[in-house]
Amino acid sequence: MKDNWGRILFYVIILALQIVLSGYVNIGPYIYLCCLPLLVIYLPLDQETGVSMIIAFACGLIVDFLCDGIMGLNAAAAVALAAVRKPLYAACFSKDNLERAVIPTIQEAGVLRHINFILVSLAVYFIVYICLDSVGMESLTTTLLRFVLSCAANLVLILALDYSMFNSRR
Amino acid sequence: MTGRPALVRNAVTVLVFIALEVLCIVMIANNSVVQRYKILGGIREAQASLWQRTSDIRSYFSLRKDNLALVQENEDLRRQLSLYEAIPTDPDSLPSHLPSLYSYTAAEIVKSTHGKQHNYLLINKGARQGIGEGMGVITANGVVGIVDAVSDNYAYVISFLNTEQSISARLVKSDHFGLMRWEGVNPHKATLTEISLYCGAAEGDSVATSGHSSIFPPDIPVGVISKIKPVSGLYLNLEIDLFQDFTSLRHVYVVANNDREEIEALVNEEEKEEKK
Repeated sequence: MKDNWGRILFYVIILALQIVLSGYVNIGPYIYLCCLPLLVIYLPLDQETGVSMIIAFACGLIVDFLCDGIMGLNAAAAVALAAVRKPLYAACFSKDNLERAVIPTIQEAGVLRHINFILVSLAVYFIVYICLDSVGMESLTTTLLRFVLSCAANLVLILALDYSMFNSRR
Repeated sequence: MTGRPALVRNAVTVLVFIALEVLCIVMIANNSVVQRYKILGGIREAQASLWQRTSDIRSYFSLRKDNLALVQENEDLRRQLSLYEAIPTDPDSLPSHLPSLYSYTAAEIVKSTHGKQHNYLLINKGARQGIGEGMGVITANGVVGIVDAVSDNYAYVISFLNTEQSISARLVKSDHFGLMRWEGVNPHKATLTEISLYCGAAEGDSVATSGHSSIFPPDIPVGVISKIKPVSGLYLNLEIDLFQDFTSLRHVYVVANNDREEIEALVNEEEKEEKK
């Protein structure tokens, strides 16, 4: 029960942070700071993928609605990430973790593995996000630059959040 | 997670994913002009491509029907053409009613041979469709044969590729005529025999039906001269390259001379008079 409340609090904090980032932090057209992928990554592993996708969709919609962006943009990216989350866990960490429904900490999994996992997750998220946002209106160079810079900036952000919120708690 | 429940669960997951993504895309399209323009454009392009493919597939399967319609149309045009051919050149002598001398019936070849000395064809029109013995069978590329026997719905045609078959043909340039027959060797060649030495024939000249028999209408192009052979210094035999490829025949027209009975009765009567 306590764990559930902790989880809900975590979701609320992430959503609030995302709203602050979207509303008040603007660091140019190439970088979109987004901590929503962290929320999707840390959805319970023993949960059905369908349910995870619905939660990711709802959280994405809240962010889209409150941040005055295009409705559905973050939701579509979050749903895509939720859909491939489990196979990504299986590929990046040991299958044992997936079977025990345990998300390893940075110390348990190793920094490189953890970075690798978060980077791939961000790549999935931003491929969908940038594709739907630019819909072929931007040049390939701009799109790639936007993708690389957003992934890099958000990797730092998510690693920092991850470390501060989970590792300190564990 | 094995067997049917896993399969159902995976299917449900995929369906939920598709439904949520579609919902997102609909929302994006409804909330942004640029995205709407691009997404709807993409959807329309996909639709157009799908319709094009569907239409292509449908056309492929209706080719037979289209072919039959074209054959029918050709038949009608031939009928109309023969009507105009019957019009006399002198306008004062125009009759009030213009009967067509030839009528045409489209038919499809059911079976045919072209590798023997005595080839034949079986067509899918018979007595019920007005086909009778002795009628000619043609295509736009020349003479095909003569109906030899008919059943209710089929007719047996003796092919022009038959060494015992000959037709009356003429040189288009000079109107000299003779009998054209197949020599039994090459299905693409025939010989026009007993043409006058002074006809002025040259290789490449066109040959058409003469219309001197009551079977085939005149002026159906049949081929071109490919070789000229003088025979005993008396006349010429002309080797003809046939237009008609008998190895790829499918649709033909059975041509009926509407005055044939009258013509034959007259000829028979004359022959009887001569015998007396």
